[in-house]
Amino acid sequence: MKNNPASLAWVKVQQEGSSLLIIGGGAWLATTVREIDGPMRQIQFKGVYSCVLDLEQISHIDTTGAWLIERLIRTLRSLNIKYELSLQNHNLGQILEQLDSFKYIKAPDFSHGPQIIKWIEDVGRSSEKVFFNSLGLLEFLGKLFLTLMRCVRHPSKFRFVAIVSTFNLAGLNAIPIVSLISFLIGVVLVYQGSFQLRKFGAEIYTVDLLAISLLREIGILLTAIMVAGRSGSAFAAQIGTMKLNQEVDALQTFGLDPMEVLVIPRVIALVIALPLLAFISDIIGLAGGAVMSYVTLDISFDQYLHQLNQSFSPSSFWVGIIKAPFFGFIIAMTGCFEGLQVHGGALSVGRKTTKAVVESIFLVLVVDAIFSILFTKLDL
Amino acid sequence: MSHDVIKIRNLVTRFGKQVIHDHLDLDVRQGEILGIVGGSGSGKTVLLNTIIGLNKAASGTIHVFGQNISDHSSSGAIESRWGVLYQQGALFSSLSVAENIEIPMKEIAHLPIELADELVMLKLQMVGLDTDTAVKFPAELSGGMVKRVSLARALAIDAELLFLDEPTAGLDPLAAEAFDKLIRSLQQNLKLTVVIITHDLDTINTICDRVAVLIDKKVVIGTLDEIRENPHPWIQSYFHGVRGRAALAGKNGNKS
Repeated sequence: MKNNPASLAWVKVQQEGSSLLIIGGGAWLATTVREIDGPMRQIQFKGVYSCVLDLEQISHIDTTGAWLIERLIRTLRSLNIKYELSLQNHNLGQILEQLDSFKYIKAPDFSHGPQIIKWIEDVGRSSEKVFFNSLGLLEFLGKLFLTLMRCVRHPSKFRFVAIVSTFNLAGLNAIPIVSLISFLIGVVLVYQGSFQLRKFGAEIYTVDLLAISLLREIGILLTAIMVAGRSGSAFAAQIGTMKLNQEVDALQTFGLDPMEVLVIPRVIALVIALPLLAFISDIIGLAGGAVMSYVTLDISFDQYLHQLNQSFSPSSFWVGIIKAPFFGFIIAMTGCFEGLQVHGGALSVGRKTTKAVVESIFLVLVVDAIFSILFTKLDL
Repeated sequence: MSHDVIKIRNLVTRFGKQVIHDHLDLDVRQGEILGIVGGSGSGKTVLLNTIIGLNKAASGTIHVFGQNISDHSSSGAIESRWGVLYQQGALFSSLSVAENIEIPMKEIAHLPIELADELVMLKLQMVGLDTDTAVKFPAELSGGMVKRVSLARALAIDAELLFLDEPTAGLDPLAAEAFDKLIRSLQQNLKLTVVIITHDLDTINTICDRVAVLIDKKVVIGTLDEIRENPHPWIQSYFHGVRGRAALAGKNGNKS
């Protein structure tokens, strides 16, 4: 039986003058031949004019084993050495006959020149990619605006159900995690702030520190980063998988614009959801600060509110909140853009999802910097 | 010791309340090509997945090479002896064609890399592909090419038991015919046992030694002629429908 080969493959080479005797035996199967591949490659044919291949003791053979023999025969032929084959296993003859018709082709070489050149090439290729990717994103932004305008002219094109369901997934479901993180950040800010400000005897201003930093920057930035990680990646993966399944193609053949069906609802949902999440983040962050102020600074809740009231100006609140819809827009846009860039296979989905998150956080921070310069110039 | 490579007794599988197989028995003999047919949703792929251990049976026993699958820990002892061609090809998208085919060679047979490379070139030619395909990635291949690469991977270390899930679906008739011939010649030369799930009546007519019909959650098995005599209405309409008759006519035409 072919199963459970009793012995491993073996090969013996004997040279007598100008003739070579090669004896093979045992089971020549894919799982048993690894030890004889090397020895068979190293057989020397110097001064050899004839060769006998005695393969009668081979008990089992498959294509891998047969290939080793076929390779040997090809070498013998190319060296014009006369050879004689003695086989017993009649299958081997048939397999060899079949293998004989195949070309021997060396596996392609994957290395490309010296390392340093490859490195320079990589730099060039990545820069090119970054450039064209930015152009693509810009083009996508343009298309997005055009589609939005079209939808505004024909409001029936807005897909209400899709907007609500995305709002639910990306907005409402994000409330617990955003709240938790904001609460912790409130706690940390107060703890660190009080520790530093105590050196100047200005512990009471910890509340001011918290209010200004949380409302103006940290609340909204944290929310945006959370949403980018949660929903931006989800958009990219969803749309990317739809693209692989040809669902996006199917939409187009129905005369539906993927931009209208897939992108617009997600963008609108995030533009609405992010300010609300940022608002929740602000409130919960302040609550976390209140708890920590009470614990470490012994500031009662009334005192905390009083201090907050003094330091708080509506403008710091609005400065933070006004950025939220823009961030939401950026996150949804990059998520959808990268999702639509997916092609090929699962690998591409992973890569584009990563890119969606990294790019959206990067763009959020860039836009945040622009806003902060703008607000300074406006004296807000 | 009988010559049954696969022995299934009283197999019951269910998803939730839905029973897929109800006390099903099936034997696959060594060295035969068994075709499994059945309507869509009759549980052909589920049966395959249960045999290869991807799906757990509710009750019953499955023996492959005399070893019970349910208490088999995946030590690679059985895995090295079977090859599977999945319906969608299931090539690893992050690996090139050559790397895909080399997986069993490296992971199971531990062949030297040089030999594995040579064998890849050989296997690609065996399944009728251009050797340039080796450096391509699955995403760059057409549907038929994916099938062939997947077959090459299933054949990589000449597993003695081959499972093919709809190997000719989506291939043009010429490619399907070549595929059938290839499987036949491999099976004869290497004494393989092949289990084919198929809807292709030509495949059933030309290369299958026996046919198993999945019907009413059980299996009706026999040679093609025996099955055609079976009075069950589904079998009658399946094999005596327009396509069934055409395929048979083609077969008889070839013979004469």
